[in-house]
Amino acid sequence: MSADNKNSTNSSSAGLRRPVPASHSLMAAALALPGLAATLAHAESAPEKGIIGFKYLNYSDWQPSNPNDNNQEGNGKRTHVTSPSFYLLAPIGSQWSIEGSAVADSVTGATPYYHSLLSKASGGQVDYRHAMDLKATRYFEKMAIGVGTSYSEEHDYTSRALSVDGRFYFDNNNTVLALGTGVSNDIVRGGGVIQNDPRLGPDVGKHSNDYLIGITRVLTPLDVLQSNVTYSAGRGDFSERYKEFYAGIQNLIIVPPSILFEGDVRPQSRYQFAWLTRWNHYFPGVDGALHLSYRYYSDSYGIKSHTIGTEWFQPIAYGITLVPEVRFYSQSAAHFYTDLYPNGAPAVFNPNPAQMTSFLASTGGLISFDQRLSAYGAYTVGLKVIKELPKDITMDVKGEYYDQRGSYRLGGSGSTANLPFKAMFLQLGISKKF
Amino acid sequence: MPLKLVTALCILAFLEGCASFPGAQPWERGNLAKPIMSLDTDSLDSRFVTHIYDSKESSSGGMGVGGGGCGCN
Repeated sequence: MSADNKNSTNSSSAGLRRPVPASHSLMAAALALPGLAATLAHAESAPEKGIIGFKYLNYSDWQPSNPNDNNQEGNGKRTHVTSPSFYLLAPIGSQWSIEGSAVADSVTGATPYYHSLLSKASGGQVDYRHAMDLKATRYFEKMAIGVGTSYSEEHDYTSRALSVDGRFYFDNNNTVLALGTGVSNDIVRGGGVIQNDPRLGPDVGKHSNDYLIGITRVLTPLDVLQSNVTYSAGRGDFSERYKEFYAGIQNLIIVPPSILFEGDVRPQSRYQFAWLTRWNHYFPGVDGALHLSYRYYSDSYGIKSHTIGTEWFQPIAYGITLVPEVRFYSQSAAHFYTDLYPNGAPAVFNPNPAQMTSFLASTGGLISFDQRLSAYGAYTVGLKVIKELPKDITMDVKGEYYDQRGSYRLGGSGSTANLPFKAMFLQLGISKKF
Repeated sequence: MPLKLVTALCILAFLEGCASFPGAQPWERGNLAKPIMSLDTDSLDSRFVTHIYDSKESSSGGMGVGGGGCGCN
């Protein structure tokens, strides 16, 4: 398809506007599907303009250790992460594009070693994570094929991934079918928790195969909808070694005699299903757009979750767009998660052996006290301000507040062992089209 | 199995429902082409937030494949 017949002229009551590519928004939707998401809207040719962007990201969270702790250690502060990140999308001729990003995380603080009880041993340590990804896309007349790779490195964890995706256009570009598959291989280094500690055993690995099928459909001149189904089959060691370690060395519980109890023992496989649907609707009267999303999730741990998200994009004066958002999330617990201490974790891990024996017998030896596997709900509220500047430069600032607790779970009571968890996400970004 | 069957039927009904909409002609897509109507308005933003939720919640998926993992989850 030539550049000429891809374009059409948009006129509206607001007056004559410059020609816009006919399937821009649809391609934006399709590019957001497999692998590494893109930002631009472009059809069967590379994007007309590239983007270079930089963001400074800041994350902090808080959670009391236990009801009797009174948060003497830093007012419940847990972790703090700063992440400068870089993004590039560049057309290469009319039939190729490359897209990539890089991020450097600096993490301080500690995560709980069971329920919401913090480890007092690891609070001052700084961990670093470096990650990058790269994707090349070739555009054909009625389809686009992309190949991507990603790499993430921490002192105790390495992840490598590859992905291939295809997008196919039908029905006068009103419908895009996306198919994708990916593979990732992760290595967890045994000596990483405390350097060269032999108690953590040898390195272990995780391997997963991911699949995606998605449809993006222009419903009307004001509505675009996308629906993706993803399935992931993972094998390997999914147990949380930090929690094994700290629970284990403090209390070498023998249940029954001669069997060492570890604090986190998970299945050697995990199968995850997710169905995400997103719908954008444009309101001409106010020149605003509503973004709605819903995701249903289910996995072989027995966890089922619902995620509902909404954003409102409202351009106002002086090139400024306001984007308030609300997100709600609710999940059930993994079948091997237990609220060992229903009223909050005490400072000394000292479970009842008979209780532990009974639970382990019921799960085939699996057990976890990880808060993330418990039953809870969470909401996020946030506001983003985007400012368009001359010369295709955009600046943005965004703040989000996150609150997670058992009592927020949909349709019933959640886990009671974990105290409320709160977090704040901040972003400051600048980008330029070229 | 019944749950999987119900899910599959929901997906099929959903696709059938989508197909019944008329779509848009090329000259009707001006509003759809606006940046605020993009399904991914800010790539770094969505990567950052997705990474946080993947590390603090047990659910993931729906957006893509082959993203790799990290020690945080």
